[in-house]
Amino acid sequence: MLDNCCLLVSLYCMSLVIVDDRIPDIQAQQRLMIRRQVLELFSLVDHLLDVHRSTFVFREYTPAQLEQHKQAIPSAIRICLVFNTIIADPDFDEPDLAARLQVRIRQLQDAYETFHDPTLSNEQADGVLKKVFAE
Amino acid sequence: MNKDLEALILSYEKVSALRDREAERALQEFEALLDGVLARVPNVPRETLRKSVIKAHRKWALKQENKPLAIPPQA
Repeated sequence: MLDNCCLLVSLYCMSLVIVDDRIPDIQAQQRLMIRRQVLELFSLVDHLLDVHRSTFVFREYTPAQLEQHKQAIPSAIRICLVFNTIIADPDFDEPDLAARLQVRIRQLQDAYETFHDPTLSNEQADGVLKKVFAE
Repeated sequence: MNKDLEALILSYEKVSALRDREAERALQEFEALLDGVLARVPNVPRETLRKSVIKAHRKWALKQENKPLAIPPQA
């Protein structure tokens, strides 16, 4: 009886040792953590794009608002690009998540260039459209 | 307004209004439409025309009576 009990205790200890010896799956945990953060970033960017659309595209803005726009959009682009280097890596293997991030980066870049692009003034843009779409 | 330009502006309106996968599809449609126009006017740089259409979209948006709800930036 006592022998059996000792054997059980011994087996129990062995299994504990085996469990403790397992290396934690850091990669899986990192993947989950990054995925959570990227989804949170999506919410943030989508809100910023909604503000851009409602306040700057469909309405006239104040100079102070435009200055905020000039700071906020590049800041969001920078964060997106940091995450893009991680999730666009083939080893990360989340092409769907990467595509969803890339469309947001494009939307943010468009938002920035609509108001702050020094290479194309509104007058130049009008001239291009007149040339291309001359009836 | 020229019909092709109007089509591009309305196509970009979808890109502007939609989010996530729907925006991705809208963006693909817009870029394809842009390529179609560029095929007829090869001397215009793609990015220049793209930016010009987006600026025209903003002008169009300002004239619309139905605007998206105003969102306070701090919300």
